[in-house]
Amino acid sequence: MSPEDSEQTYIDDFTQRNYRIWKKNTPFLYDYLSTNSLLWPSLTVQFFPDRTDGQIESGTSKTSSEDSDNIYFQRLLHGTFSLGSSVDSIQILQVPVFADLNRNLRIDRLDFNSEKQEFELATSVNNKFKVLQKINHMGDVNKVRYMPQKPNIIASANNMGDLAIYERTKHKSFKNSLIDDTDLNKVQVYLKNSNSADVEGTDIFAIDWNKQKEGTIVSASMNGEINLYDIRSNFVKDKSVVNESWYYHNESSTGVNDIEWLPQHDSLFSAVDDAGFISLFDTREESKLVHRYRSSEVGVNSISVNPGISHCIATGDSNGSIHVYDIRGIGSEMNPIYSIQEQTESITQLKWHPRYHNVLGSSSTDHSVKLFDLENSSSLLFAHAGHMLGVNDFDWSHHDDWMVASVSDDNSLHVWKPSHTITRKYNSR
Amino acid sequence: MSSEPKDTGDPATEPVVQLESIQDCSVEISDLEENLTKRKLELDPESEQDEKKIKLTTENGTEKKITKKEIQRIERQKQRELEKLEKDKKKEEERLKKEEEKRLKEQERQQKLAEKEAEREMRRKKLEEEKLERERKREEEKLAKQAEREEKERQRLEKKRKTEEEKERKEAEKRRAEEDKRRAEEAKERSQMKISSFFQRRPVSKSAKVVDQEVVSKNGSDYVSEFLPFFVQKNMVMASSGQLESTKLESARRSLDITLRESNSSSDIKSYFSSFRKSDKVIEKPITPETIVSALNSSTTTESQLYDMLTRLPPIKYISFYENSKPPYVGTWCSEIHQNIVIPVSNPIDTSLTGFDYEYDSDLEWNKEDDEGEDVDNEDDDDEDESMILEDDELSDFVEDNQEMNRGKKFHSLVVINKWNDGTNDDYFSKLTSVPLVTNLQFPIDPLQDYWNSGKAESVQSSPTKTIKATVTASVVSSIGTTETPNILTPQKKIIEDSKIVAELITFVENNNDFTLGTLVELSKKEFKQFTKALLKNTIQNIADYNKKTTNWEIRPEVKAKYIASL
Repeated sequence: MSPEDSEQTYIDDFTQRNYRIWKKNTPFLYDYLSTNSLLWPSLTVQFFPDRTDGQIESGTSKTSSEDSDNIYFQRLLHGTFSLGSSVDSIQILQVPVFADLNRNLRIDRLDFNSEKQEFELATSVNNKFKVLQKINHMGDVNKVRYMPQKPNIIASANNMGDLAIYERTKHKSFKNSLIDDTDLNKVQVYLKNSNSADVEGTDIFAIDWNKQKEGTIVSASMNGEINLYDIRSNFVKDKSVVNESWYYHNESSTGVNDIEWLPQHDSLFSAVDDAGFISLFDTREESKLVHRYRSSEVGVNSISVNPGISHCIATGDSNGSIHVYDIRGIGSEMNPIYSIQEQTESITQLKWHPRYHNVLGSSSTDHSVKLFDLENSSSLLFAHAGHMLGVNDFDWSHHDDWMVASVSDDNSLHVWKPSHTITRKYNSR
Repeated sequence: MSSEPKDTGDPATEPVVQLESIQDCSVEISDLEENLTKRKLELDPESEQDEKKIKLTTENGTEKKITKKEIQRIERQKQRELEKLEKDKKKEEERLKKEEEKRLKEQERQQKLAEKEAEREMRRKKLEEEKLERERKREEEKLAKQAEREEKERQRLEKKRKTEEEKERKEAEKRRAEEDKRRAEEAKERSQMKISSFFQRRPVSKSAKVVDQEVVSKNGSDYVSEFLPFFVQKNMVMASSGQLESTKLESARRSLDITLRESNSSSDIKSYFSSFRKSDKVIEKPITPETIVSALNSSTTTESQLYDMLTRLPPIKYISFYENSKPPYVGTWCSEIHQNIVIPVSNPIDTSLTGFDYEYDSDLEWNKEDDEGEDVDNEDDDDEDESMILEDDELSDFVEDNQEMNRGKKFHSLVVINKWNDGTNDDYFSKLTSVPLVTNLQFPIDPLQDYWNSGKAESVQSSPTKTIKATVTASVVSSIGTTETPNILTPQKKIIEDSKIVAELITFVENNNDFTLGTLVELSKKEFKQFTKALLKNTIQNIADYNKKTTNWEIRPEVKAKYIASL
């Protein structure tokens, strides 16, 4: 994307009108919704695994002590995409959420709005999102992901052809800096393929930490080069680079858009590329590439492996089609079990619900995030229509069922949760 | 094609020769024009035939006697035929010539056309090349600029780093110097001590052992020391990382390795999905706030019943928009009406079910309430920059900006001075006039008199208008509503005086009388660009009143009367 492109992505009247309508309908659609405007759009968003129950510094409110009992914090990881207009950074946000607002209803303090015919609560607490940390970063922040085993370790995929690894605690927290700090933060270690044909400046969008092998991460570039790094074994103090310990390069240099480990395995991962293929790799095999088959006529942008059944994967392509496959029977014909055509433009991210494994979420450049229930007939469960430009990424909360964070080109970060009237029928296992 | 045959001895040969010469001629022509070759081919068989015929005649001649006359006749005939042929030939020749000319002309025309086309093509190509060149240059410039920018950024960062390094270095030096000093002092002390404690036991040097404590652990443990485990605080709950315990991982891995070799079938995936069963229990209709309110008002309801009702309320909603000035909506959303409206999942922007007025923005309503106390004077108000997310640096930026803004304005600190009107400061006090706020007040004030009761009663009786009218000096900008009593206690606000502009503003307010003051000011600012918002606001407030019943702005009748001429 060039700066000119981003300038052209203005929001048309039609979209703005739809936004105003959506805004009015939100009480029917959501139980929780918080829209936020970031200084720069983010291409990436991820919920941290921690939840902190706690106090919030509030003003001189009389209810503060009661409210604060019900508040907890989640943390969000995101990046800036300023196209060189500013020093890009990785940011960690604190998101305050009320655990149970109903507890704040008191018989002696009921505030009945007769116009709406609803009880209202006055929130006196300051529940704005707060920047906890800002790590200044060289180049675009294409994707940032923390290591699942050690969430303080953050990998960033950028447009410089390598991965930058930061240890969060080795960088100062945001509140300590009085002025806007533009110094680049020191990278703990770069992950680089020194023999790579890729020159600096190759975009990397596909990274995934191995859930079963601590310190192992796989990345794939838009030049089709796949590298595996083992930081745990190969990191040497005072050396700024860890070299790849495994790599694969397809002859056609087809750009790889997304990559994901099979979550219950330490050696298998799957990748999707611009040519419309799904590939399965086994790091133990001599041949490396185990299976490759076509999933779409157009580029496939995202892959998500079902957290419950590792042989069930979902892919989303640049036509907005979603396919769900059973990848068993290596070498045989693959036909999708489900095909969903609900999104009108390119899919940007697909993610299975971490607890309801029959639910799949997808974000798209068509401005929406949609949730599907695959249990029967791939039905649309929910559509989030509050973004005014393409949605770049989204993530499910680990602590609040159905809570989603999504980021869009319109600089917005939305944290939302569909109304209980939609989700109450689901039981987790 | 010469003469008449003089010799009869060989009469038969002559025509043949002549024919040949015609043939020659045709050859010549054919040489000239390619079109004629065809003609020649047509002619050749003819001449051959003629030859045969003549030959036959000569053969006959040897048998029969051929008279001279006959010969002459034949000769003439031949001659005529030849002439005719020649004529035909000529005609044909001419025709061909003409045709050729035409062709040539056509060719020329075509050529010219082609040339023109080529020229045009060339021009087009040139233009295209120029365009490409321009684009390339632009691209280059863009890249150069970007590179420059990046370079600058790098230099800046480099500089920053250097200064920091320098700082660090200096600090280190300072530390070293201090250390040296300290050591020197210590040494001095020690040497002094040595003397003084010559017979005492020397204390063990503390710093001696510390040095070797930094034992660097090598061999893969670098990772462990650099990348520390996540510290889980007391009030923190962690979601599972998904990392399986080693034996579990081993079995999961083995089973997946086997599974992937199996044939694919969708049935087990489908049944797995359906195991996330939707709850069977019938969801009872949640209690409505209306029911609770009527229960609250009923004398028979017990507190425990009420408490029970409250627990049956569905989750309270929290809906917050960063762009709204009103606070987030926090409340129930389960009234009888709301429960019955189900917006279709496939169309979150449905407008047919709620009965809402989608053109109306309730956030503007909120602004209205807020408007009274709002200072419209702040023209540099930049709402768009305000991010919902609290960033300390932005806050500091904001402060900085303000300072910068203030630099433009001139502020003087007020200094208290005392001047007594005792005849020594006449030139100062002669410029001042005094206006009693309470009109019937007599100076000096008697501290023992009850001014409050007597004054109140009297001030109502007296008409203050006269007093104030009399005291309003020419230098004070007069309010428009001079017939009304201007409240002298509120500072006189500056207003627009140009009656033409005021008349225009009156019309403007009349046409937009259903807006809030804030909106009116915003809108009028667009039309009356030369005035500040504050000035417009004051003027509007001066010419019109807000009618709370009709929720419209109404032009004061006396103002309208005054400016009716200009309208």
